[in-house]
Amino acid sequence: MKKVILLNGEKVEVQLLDLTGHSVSFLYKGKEYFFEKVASDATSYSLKNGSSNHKVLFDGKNALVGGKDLSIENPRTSRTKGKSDVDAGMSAPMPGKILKVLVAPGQSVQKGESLLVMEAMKMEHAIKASYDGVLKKVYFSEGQLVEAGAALVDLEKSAES
Amino acid sequence: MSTIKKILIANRGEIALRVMKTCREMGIASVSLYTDKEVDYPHAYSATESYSLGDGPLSETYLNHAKIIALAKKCGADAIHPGYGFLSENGVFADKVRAEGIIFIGPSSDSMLIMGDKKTSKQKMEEVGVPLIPGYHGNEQAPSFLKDEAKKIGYPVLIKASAGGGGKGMRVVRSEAEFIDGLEAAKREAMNAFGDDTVLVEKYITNPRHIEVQVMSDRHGNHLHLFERECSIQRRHQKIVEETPSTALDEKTRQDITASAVAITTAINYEGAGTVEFILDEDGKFYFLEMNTRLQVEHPVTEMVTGLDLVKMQIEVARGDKLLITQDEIVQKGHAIEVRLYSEDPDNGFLPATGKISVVGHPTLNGTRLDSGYVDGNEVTINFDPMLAKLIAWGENREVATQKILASLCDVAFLGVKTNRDYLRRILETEEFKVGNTYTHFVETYKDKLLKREVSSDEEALAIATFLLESRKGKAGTIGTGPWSELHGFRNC
Repeated sequence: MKKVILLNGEKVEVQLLDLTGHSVSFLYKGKEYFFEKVASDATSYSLKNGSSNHKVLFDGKNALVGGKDLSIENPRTSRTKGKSDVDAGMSAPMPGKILKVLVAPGQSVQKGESLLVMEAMKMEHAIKASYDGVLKKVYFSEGQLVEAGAALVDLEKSAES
Repeated sequence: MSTIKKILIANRGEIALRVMKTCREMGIASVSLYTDKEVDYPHAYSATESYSLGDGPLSETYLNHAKIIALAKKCGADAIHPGYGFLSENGVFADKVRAEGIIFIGPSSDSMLIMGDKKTSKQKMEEVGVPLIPGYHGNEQAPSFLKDEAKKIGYPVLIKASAGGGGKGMRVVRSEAEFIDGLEAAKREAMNAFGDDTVLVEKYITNPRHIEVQVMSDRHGNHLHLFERECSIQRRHQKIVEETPSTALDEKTRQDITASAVAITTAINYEGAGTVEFILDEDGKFYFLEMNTRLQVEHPVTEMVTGLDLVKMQIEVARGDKLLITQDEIVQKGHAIEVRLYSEDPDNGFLPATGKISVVGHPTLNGTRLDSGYVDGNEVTINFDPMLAKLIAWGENREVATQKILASLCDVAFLGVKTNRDYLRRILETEEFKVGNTYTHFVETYKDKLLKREVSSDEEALAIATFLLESRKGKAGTIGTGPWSELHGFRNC
């Protein structure tokens, strides 16, 4: 049975071969895996693969494996927002306040140039141009509060030379 | 000598819990404070008694002198412990507390005043004869004047808030062309963070190390040091890895730097715990940076190698005790390392992260310690410091302590919120860290070695297996068998 899983926000395919209450086997990236669940409490799982023991912490969505953090979800029940059209580099990374607007509409800017300065978590963050372009609109003015993810500018990409 | 039977802790999070721990050990009642949004956080309910500060901005809660002093009087506290940050270096508050007949666990307001301002502290250091970094520390603040001073000092220069700390209001400027932009940014941050935009300009030292000396003084003229800590590994001037002893000090330099720290505490007739921070250059020359007149975030590494409880010593000297231990009896045994876990995404511009922590986890190895203000189910919000926890490990040598941190970082999950865990592991696994090439620009210099590491498909498969098993939880089934090969090459955590 083919299953699609959202791993770190990206869809991956798993060929499920067998699943019981305490063991699972599947095909993933061309490799066959078999794990037995030896023990588990609310969030800690001891899995066995042959004679190798592995510990996984899992809260239903976030997993810690070998010191690495992964998120894993069913795409149908996922509440993770899809990628928006706005370039994440030029949207508000956090709720915060616009301290300074450094550019004006009509201005040409180069990739990496600072467009705005905002304050979030008591630190200043410079919002930089993700690409060369001409600024069409700045959506906020100095002193305004912004929500996380809010688009801050409309930057029209320069034609590729 | 006074007695202390009840201490009000004018702080929150991990440091409030840290003070409570020593109170319990000493049989002293503790009183904690919290805001209405923090009722679920452990500092709000782990003390003997606790009181709400209501809601609103910090000025109405943790920084509200009148409210805090009124609560201390109401509950009959003999003493107030300020922790670090907040009111810990506020001489006005300390005086108000003392005027009410309550012990303020910290130095005199005079000491705080001298050391609290980078300018006056440096003037004092010149008198004492402690070396200083060349710079302009005066009152003249006109941009053109400061720019001229910067030119005299020679680029690169560092602009810092006079009243500052914690990396806020600080800018490195590498050329004259960048000076005005850097000055404006530093002044804005300084004004926002401290309500004072006075800055100083000084020589920026390349390949510096941050070495600090822990001091402890009583009011009977005993001024001790508890050796050094090296906190060179910083990001945006925020410390992230701290250790003791420093690999950079030979015995002679160690003697000189600790003697300088004690000369300072003796000269200002200091009382209580403090930290004298120095910059050590490549030639082993050190310069006074600042003195923090309070307990430091990274104090646990000193506790680990000296076997002393700094909060206990603070309480003892605050009630007028003589320090019982002598300088000769304080020795550095083994090695201790602390790493700071932050809620941030190192692989996405270190953006601050928020979320609900489903599992905190805890280290289990001998000689490890986790100081955190969070428990399972707590929310990480943007309202407070992004530091989630401090993980500390002691080992008989640096290599052992490093390995214990690396292993324990896998036990401290903080599931549900992005952390710098793997970034910390990458730092500790570099060859440069292993050989002790730790400079304050470490993370910038070696950024190519600290890049995101891909998760292997075997690691992904483990997460997938858990996810699939979880989806079947509670349902009966049979154990499947088959000719599957064993997994190899997993990181051993």
